[in-house]
Amino acid sequence: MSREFQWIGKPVLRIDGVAKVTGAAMYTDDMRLPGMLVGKILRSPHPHARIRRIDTSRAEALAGVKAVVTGQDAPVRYGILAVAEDEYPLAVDKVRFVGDEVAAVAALDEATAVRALSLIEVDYEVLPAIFDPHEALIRDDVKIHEETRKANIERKVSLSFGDVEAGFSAADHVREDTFFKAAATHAPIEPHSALAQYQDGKFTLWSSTQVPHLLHRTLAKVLQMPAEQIRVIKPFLGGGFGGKGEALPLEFAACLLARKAGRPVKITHTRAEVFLTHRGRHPMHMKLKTGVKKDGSITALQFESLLDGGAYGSYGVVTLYYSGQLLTGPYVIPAFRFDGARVYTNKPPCGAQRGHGGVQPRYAFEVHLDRIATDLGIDPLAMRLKNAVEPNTRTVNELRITSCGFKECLERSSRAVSWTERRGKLPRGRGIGIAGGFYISGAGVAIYFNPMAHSSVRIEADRSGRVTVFCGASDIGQGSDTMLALVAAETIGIPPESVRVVSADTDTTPVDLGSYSSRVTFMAGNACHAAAKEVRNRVLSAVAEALDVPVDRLEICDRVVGVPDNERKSFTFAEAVALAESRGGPVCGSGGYTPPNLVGSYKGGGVGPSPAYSFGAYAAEVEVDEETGSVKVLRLAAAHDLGRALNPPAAEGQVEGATVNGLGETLLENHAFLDTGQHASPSLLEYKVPTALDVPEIEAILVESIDPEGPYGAKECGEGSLHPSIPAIVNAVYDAVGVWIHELPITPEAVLKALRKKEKP
Amino acid sequence: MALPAFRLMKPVSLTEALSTLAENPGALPVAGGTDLLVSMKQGLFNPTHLVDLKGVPDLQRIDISEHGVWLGACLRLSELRDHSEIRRRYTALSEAANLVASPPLQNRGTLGGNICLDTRCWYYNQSAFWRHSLGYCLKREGNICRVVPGSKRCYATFSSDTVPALIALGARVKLAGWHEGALTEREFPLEDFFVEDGIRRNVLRPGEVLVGLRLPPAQAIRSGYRKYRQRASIDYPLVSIAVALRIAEGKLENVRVVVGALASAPVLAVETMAVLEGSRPTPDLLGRAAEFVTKRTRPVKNQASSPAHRRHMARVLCRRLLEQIVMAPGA
Repeated sequence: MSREFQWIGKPVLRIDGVAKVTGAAMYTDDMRLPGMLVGKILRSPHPHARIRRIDTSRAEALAGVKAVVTGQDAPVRYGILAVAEDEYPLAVDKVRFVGDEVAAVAALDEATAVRALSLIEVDYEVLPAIFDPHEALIRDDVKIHEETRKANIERKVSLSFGDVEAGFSAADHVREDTFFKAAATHAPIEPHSALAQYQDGKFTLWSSTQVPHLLHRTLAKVLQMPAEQIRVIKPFLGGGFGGKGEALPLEFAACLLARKAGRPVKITHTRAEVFLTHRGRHPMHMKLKTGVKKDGSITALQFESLLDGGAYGSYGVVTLYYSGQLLTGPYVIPAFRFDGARVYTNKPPCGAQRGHGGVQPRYAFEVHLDRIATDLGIDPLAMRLKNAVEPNTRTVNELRITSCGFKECLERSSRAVSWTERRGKLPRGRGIGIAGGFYISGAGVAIYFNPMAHSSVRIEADRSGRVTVFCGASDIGQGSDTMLALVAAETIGIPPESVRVVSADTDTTPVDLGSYSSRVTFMAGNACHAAAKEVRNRVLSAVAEALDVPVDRLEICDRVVGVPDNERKSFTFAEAVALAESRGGPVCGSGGYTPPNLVGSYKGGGVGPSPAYSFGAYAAEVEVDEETGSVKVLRLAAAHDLGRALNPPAAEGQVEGATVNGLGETLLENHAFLDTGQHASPSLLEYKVPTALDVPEIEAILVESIDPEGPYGAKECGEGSLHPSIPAIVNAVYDAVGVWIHELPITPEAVLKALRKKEKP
Repeated sequence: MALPAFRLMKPVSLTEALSTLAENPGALPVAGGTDLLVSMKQGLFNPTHLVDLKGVPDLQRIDISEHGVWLGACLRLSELRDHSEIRRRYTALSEAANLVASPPLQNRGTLGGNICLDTRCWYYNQSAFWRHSLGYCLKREGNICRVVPGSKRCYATFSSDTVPALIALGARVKLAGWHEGALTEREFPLEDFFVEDGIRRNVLRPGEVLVGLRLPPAQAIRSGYRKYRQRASIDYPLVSIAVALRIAEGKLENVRVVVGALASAPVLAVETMAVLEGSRPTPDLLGRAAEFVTKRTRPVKNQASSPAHRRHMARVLCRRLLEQIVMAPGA
């Protein structure tokens, strides 16, 4: 395509922006249906117990209660991963964490529903609980899931690539380090909400979900209904970050209650329930061993991870694989060995969270790399440039790297903080640090095995000039609806504001797998591009016939279709669509995107491959108060290679948001539990998400490597941009006061302790 | 979780408010509601009536003169924060009001509410489900302290920001009650209002209302307030320090140092005050005085950050605040 882009690369207003800022946008909890009941969930007060008996009769007898359901109403096991179907909608035989879902009630009002919960009698046999993952690894006397073969290990993985032994033998220097990153949780501002209606034997579920299609499939399985009898709609959604990325108990409970009561039922989580539902960042214990030559080139890397999974599988097996698989970039690692395990503990289940699987190891590796550079007396930036991956290469574990702007990210972020002039030269207490990262633009393999497209788009135009994009993709605030409008608009040649988007409704939109693994711009964008090209071609072909000119002489520009600079040979876009419609049918286009087969040649080679990878490098500047131990981040220069910025302000927003997220996980956020299993901070007051005052100046630097397979060259932006933020800050703390922090979050006490330890000879 | 049901009463005079409270033993007074309503949602309070004090004109008054200041209990924290005379003469109070929670909460929360703020603890400020799962605690519905097992008393933390500043500035508190159909009043130093007991907290009797505070004339008093918290906004103090003093002929006079959030009540740091009173301030003296600031405190592990670190921060904040106040150009 030779012509200049009309809209891509320029600021485009979000198509949902006005509705959101005026309050007109309807989120799930804003919805009311005639006769609607309020649903509430009874949760386990014990971290681990067997359910002997549940008596719901007193709750059912309470005036105003219309339905009560328990695990017996749907004793069907499910899970987001086929290899880990270990959940029931409501507990059947056991509860496995404080907050595990046991029963649900629907009543005329919330107060009645809450009272009914207190009338449900559950006879528990309390079992010993495990909270420490190291204990879970070895204890066979306590089984959180009977199916685990050894102790409470859900999954173990061992992978080896290249000649690791030879790599270490050839090294001039070998360094080993251990790290720990505490759990974090998504803390979306919109709590989970699900509204279910059962009418004429059919379900409709409005839900705050990132994955309407996967939810649709799971509902069919659990409710034991044909999928075609179930409709899932995602209304406006106020933040997911991975926490709404799989079917959740409240969605099943709402459906089961609605069917039983014969009335619509809505369940909205309280803030505390949002924290208990979790599915967030795994606490991860990590060991690294790296061999390097004197010049800094890496010869081998060995990595061990232990993931504290909580009570259920969720996305955990994928998290486990990612923890190792995504360490083979963005530096050339000639030999790599990875051993990992995910264990069950009696805490809310961990799952996927922004930057899934790679965030903890990235922190560990980038700090480890700085320590190696320090051992060798090499500048950390030079160390990274020396080992940086190049475009069009393969990693040792067979990941296909195509476009790659990593070196440019390193150069631009370091320049933004005047690295060469300032690193190691700032007054004590001030420091700068740098770190890199990379991430997938969607997983190359679908979450359940199938040969179909990962994303499909249908576009319709009619004689009014209307163009509507239909796509199953779920806009969770990241702006995917606007992305679809923009790609369709650019491809067809009409302004983005004249494109409507109907998305995330399983009755009316073709399947997209959902908003996870940073896949939507790449995959739905490509599908949309294909569909829009078809619409454009149909319109142009009709116009060419009407004007009797070859199609390649025609342009669509600013709602005008015709021969450029020839007013007599042109139509308005609406007239042009009418011409196409006159050929005997609607003007439609459809497109799908299926990634190329990139699966590695080994067991486990399905986790890690992606059609494209984003790259990033961040530089952080911090101030450390050596008397109080407090770390203040002064600025972050965040360079992210996203292929092409389709809508630059939206991309900058993603980078800034991810950076703030990383800052929170570095300095404040800890999703911790008491030794009795209670959540230590189930509120936005006590779970410390950074406030506006905690956020420093962030400079989002968009690096464009123009991906050969991405829509208009675009790659992912919203998740990979989290990875470098954490280690960049930790490395800056070293530059400021000379201590390395191996456990996150960095508390002031930990800084003081490290400083005291350093003072001792 | 929705608020439990209650009747909202809106008296327009102090006598009407007091008589309403007297007639309804299950009633509680409310002003901004930023503390009480959250606690009610968590099932910590179940009043039959809430008596809204915001409609009582007497409680909104602020009078500033050379004889001192009268501050009505229902003044909003943002009014105190933004009042130029308060900021100039009673800096610690203005600084403290500015550090309560966040600006939206300062717009809603009141001075009286901040003084009567409930004590706080990990095991107490939780949902009904959470407390039920653990088996409750001494402060509410249970009979053991989860922080200090075996303790007969509750160690929940005093968490008000404005109180340390007010005590340092020599505030007196005025309470009003209703006895046999008549208004009763009492007034005494604010430090005597508090009790070192996480449950009882203060000497307020049932039905009694805090109506306001009196501050002595400023007379070149220098004062300030510092707060340690994890985030730069929203959070309650992990520790806080208020200092007020005068400098006459190079010597420190009328020194008052108050520690917040390290006990169940505010703590007057009398040892620190004794070291400073009548002395010529040197960096060494200020540092030495600050070392004593935690002597009468008893922090326990009932919130983020360890007791040892909170004490350390008290000493650091105290020294830094003293240095700032002493170095400042004369008031």
